[in-house]
Amino acid sequence: MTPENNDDNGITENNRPRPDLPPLEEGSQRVLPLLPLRGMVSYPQMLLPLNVEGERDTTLVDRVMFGDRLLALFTRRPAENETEEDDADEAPLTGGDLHPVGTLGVVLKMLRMPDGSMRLMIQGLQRVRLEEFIADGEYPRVRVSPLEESEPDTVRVKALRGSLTDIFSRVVELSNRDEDLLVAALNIEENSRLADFIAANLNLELEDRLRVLATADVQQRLELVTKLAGRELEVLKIGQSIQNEISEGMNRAQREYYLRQQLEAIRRELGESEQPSVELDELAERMKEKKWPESTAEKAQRELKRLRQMNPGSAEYVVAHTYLNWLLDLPWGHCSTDRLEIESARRILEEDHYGLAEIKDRILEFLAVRKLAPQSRGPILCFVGPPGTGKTSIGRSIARALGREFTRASLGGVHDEAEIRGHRRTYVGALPGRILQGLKTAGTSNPVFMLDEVDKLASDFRGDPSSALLEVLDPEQNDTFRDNYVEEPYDLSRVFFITTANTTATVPRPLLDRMEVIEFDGYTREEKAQIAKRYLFPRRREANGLTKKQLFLPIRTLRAVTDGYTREAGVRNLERAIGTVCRKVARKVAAGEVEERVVVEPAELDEYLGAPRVKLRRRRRRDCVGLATGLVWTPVGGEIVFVEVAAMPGKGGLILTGQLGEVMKESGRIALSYVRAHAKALGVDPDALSDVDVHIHVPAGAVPKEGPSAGVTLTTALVSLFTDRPVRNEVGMTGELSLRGEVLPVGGLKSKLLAARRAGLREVILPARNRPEVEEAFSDGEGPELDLDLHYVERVTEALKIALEDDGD
Amino acid sequence: MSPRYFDHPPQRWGAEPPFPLIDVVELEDGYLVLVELAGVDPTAVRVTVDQRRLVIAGAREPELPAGSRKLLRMELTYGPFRRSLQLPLDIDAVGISARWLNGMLHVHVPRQAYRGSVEVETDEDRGSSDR
Repeated sequence: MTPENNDDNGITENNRPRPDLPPLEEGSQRVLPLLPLRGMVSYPQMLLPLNVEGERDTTLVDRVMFGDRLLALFTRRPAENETEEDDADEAPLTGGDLHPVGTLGVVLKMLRMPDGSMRLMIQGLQRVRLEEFIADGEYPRVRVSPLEESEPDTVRVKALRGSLTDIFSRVVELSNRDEDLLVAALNIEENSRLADFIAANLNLELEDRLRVLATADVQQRLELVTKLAGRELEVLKIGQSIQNEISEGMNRAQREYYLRQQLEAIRRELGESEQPSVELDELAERMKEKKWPESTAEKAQRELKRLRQMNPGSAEYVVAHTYLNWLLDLPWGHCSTDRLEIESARRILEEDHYGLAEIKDRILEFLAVRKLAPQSRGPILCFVGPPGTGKTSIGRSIARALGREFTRASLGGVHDEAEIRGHRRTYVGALPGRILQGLKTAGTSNPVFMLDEVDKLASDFRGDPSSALLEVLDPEQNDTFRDNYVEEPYDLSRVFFITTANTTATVPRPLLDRMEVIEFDGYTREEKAQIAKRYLFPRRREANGLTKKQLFLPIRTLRAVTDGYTREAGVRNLERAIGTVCRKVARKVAAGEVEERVVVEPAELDEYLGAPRVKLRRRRRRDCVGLATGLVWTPVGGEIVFVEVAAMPGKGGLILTGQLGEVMKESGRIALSYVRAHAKALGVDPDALSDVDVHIHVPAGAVPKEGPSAGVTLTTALVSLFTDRPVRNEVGMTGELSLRGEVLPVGGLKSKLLAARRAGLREVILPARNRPEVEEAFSDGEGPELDLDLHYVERVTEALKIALEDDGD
Repeated sequence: MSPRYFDHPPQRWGAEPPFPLIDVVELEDGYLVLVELAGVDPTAVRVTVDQRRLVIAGAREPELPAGSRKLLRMELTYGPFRRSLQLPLDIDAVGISARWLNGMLHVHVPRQAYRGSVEVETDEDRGSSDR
């Protein structure tokens, strides 16, 4: 034990700054004041900071401070009924309360606190055994004898010492204790002190501490402390592995949390600090009030749950959020109440539209049925007619009359099934189809829903939208309409569907079959004039900022506008023309050129609208041979056409010109064949027919014409030519011809008759089988007045008699 | 009057500051060991040198005046003490001296004077090698 150390200062100290102080010789005994310890143990050589309270103990300390400052420190056994520490402190002590082995200690430092309690720094000196408990003074005293420590110098002790320091070093490391502890431990030479030191610095139960204190044999004590240190090491290891696991999980969660916080901060900076949870709570709130079918409600709940677990920044979230919003925005079971007063509905319809009696009747019928049978399904109407005839606007009017919402979707050019039925939710930017979009706009599940231009649906490889419409428009299955986006069945059966089309020709049969077709034939001249007077003119006048007192268009002027400047079935151009007049008058008024009320007379229209653009085709002034007047139907109304026939030397050929369609060409052949076959009966010289070529022309040559209804006209023209009898110029005719000379019914009679009258014809020959239709259209009192002689014929010969001038035969 | 010591009490044995505190100064001719031993009865202090080990041992006992009622604070360290210093090789153990000055014990440890190279006489003992 002679450290060879040659430091610069040359003087070093051995490592025992304090001498042992064994106050008690072996075999001796001594009476010392007793300071009972609670829940702690003092070891020899260890410092023990101690708080002393209570009069008994402070008195004791006061006493010893004036003497050798020695105390006997014995740990008190925990009382069985230890409830209040103070009570236990002041309870009378007995020898039985104390642990039999304690420590002799010396007070190193002392401080009295203002409240009378003391803080002490006590150093343990020596293990002592309790010999006698003396309780006769102010404070208890004990008689103690030293506990002999035997220390066999065996190999086992050395090995124990090595393993104990080893374990302790790992305990220090794992438990993050001060490394000085380890250094201090390594510097302790005596095994007894080492065991005490390590025991004092382990995390031990009181019982274990006392066992260490009571173990006098150093080898046994080393073994015990090694065991205890090993146990602590195990606990620390397990603790650490648990901590590792936790911190791993924590790190991930923390990272996410941290990123979320950042995201939130960024949002706040951008002013988008929508609290997603608040947003979701709002959704949940709205969901409570929603009258969904059960399956839909469940689905919505699921979606909401999913949303709550999602990151609001993710694309998924947006998709789910949009979807849920759609579910909420659709009206589902919400319906408006129908206004079922037929009289007021009628008034509304009359107010909004002039004419259109058939449609108005149909609506009122629906109302009546609805009143009697509230559960009846809505009809599906299809308005077919030329543009500008008020199909769409009467839809609005119907909605108003019924007290329902109005919504419309235009299907013109729609060529994707998904437009009707929506896209599946999995697609980016997917939305429900137009049907549900329309319902969302309407806000009720029973609006008047107008599907415009169903005849202009297209179809391609993406699917056939008209087939998708079949499901929508079939009352048998549209109560469970499934939109691809919404996925839940939606009840469309209470929707009042109205489709519009310009022609039924291009509407697929199965679709047409589901609808009740109502024809809009276009307005007569008189109807147009009335519409102009009641609706168009007041509207235009107002739009141009004029008042009743500034401009007046008498009905004769309106008629002149209709005749001279528009050629249409509807009234759009008429309205535009009236608008032009109004505008020009407005300019004059604004310029101060006129001060009195302007009344535009028909003769003055040139000034406003220029020369009349439309010259009505009028009847021929004279009767002609080989020229007959036919009636045709066009989308913009009826028209008269002239059929010209010429014969020239040839070999019995037939030339047809004038952009005739296949059917019309066939009509020409039929007519010629009929004339040839019945030449004699018709008074035609058969020879005259044999050596000629016949040319039939229908002007105007640039306008395509089609249809079978010119049969009678063609025949009349041919017979006129070959018999040299003129056709009466005031007779128009229409009707399909069979090879046997029968006159077959044709369509579009109303328009044709109106055209005939407009063209100045007096008489019209028409198929007998069209009679009911015509009579319905022009029955007395209703519909336009028809100032025409109508000749219903069954055979073409009857027609010829009427049409051809008698040549005196 | 703040209870500084008890604010940061040493946590274990060995962490208490040593007592008494010592300064060591290197001098031209040796070393000076200053020991802070105020309040110690000089007769109770023993300074010994044994095999280059300087030991200063003794005890400090509180000297409380008669009529003391209560100890309110005890920061000074009392009790027996023993400090043991290892001295370098070149000191002159015989020349070590100590004296008290203002409550400090000054221990003067002189260095051995350098005497240069010393001729060592050798005896011849022929007989044994040739035997």
